[in-house]
Amino acid sequence: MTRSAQATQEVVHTIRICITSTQADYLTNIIATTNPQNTTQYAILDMTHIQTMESPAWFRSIRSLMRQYNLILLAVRNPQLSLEVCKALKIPTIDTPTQGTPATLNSSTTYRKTPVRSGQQVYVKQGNLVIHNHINAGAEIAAEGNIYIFGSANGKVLAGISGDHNARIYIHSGYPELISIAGYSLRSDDLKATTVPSYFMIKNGQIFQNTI
Amino acid sequence: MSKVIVITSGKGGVGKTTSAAAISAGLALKGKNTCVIDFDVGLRNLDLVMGCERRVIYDIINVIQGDANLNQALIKDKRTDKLYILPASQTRDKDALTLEGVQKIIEALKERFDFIICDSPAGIEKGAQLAMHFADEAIIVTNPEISSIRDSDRMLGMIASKTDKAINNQSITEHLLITRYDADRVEKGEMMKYTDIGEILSVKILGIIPESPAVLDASNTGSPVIFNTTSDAGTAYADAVARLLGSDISLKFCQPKKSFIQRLNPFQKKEAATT
Repeated sequence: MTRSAQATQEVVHTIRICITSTQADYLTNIIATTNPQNTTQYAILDMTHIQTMESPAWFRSIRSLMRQYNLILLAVRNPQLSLEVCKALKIPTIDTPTQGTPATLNSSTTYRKTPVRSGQQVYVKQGNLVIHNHINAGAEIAAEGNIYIFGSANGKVLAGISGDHNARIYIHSGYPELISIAGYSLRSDDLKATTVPSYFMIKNGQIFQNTI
Repeated sequence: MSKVIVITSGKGGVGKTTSAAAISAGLALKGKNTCVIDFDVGLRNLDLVMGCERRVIYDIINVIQGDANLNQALIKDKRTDKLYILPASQTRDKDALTLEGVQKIIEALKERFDFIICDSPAGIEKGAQLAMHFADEAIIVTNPEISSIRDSDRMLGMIASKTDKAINNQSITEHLLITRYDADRVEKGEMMKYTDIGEILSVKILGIIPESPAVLDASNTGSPVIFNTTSDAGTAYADAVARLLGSDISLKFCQPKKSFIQRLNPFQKKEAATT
């Protein structure tokens, strides 16, 4: 959802504040530590983990608290609850998990030809990642977009790391230790060892492994 | 043009020191001026394997700290006139090694020797990192066993990212040396095959050293196993040294040994399989 804000306005860097409680002490602490430079920042309040409805007064107080720390409340994210309260306060809400794909917004691709060895980490901040060699056990690769592996994949593979639910992972063969897309993950125990090329995608909030 | 070769593995006990002794002796036998440095400060072993433990007076730490000059610390091997040993200190630890000190020593050795073999300690800490830092080539010693292979993989990753050459965007030639290989057990499916190891690590195989009683005998007597020309391991190391110098020799000891009867009767094995 950070992306959607970026898409509408040209360069707006937003930060996401994910809260797990609505207690005053907890919130003061989390907001105070979010913006150490104290520069003006746009923030999205992620309330995915909050199960109960809050009053308009609560939203008003949190908005003023954030303003104290130079944070501008851009939107509230809460997929479970109806956010009538926010609408009354004219705070935009985000309730769908994905809005557009980072892979299409930033279609840059990183290529790597050498093997990713145990203990190495390959991290691609924007776009897709293509690896022409093995991912050995104990290695870790992560990308914001899709991941394509043309050797055997035996390490941890994480795609869509900034929340892109449409990201996919394609592997030629191997037995990965972990597959993760946008925070949803499959451990090696839940995976089928692959001798044929296969891909992973999210469907109905679950990762599926399919052969090509 | 002198070459610095590091012998490393990550895991301990796979045969780094044995290999360093054998390969350096092998290079000296081939007429190359060779120096072998023990980087295992605090756990000095190379002098024992080379059989010069009674002649150690000064060590690498003395040289780094300026207590002795390099020529005082170098020990000439008694068997070949082209081999020198720079021993480690037994009383100090790895923190006594410094990057500048090691660089100075290697620069000085490069002027005198064709090959400088660095025997790395186990682990991925300072000692191992300094041993590999100035290397032009690396020999990764691996046993046919998963934990050794994973550690070797980690070392290869460090060689490709943390060494002087890697930092300056140059590549290091990597070689894989498989030790304690038992082709009979591979045949039975109890041990990993050398081709699988080569594929996992994506490194060209320099040699396969078979499991051999000659290796322990060599350590006990303080004479590198390569001098035992009648043993399997000695022959295998000699081949590895030849490959290191550019010869194209096919790998030995990768097939199971045939018994006397099997050698007489090539159909014997097939019959056993059908019955």
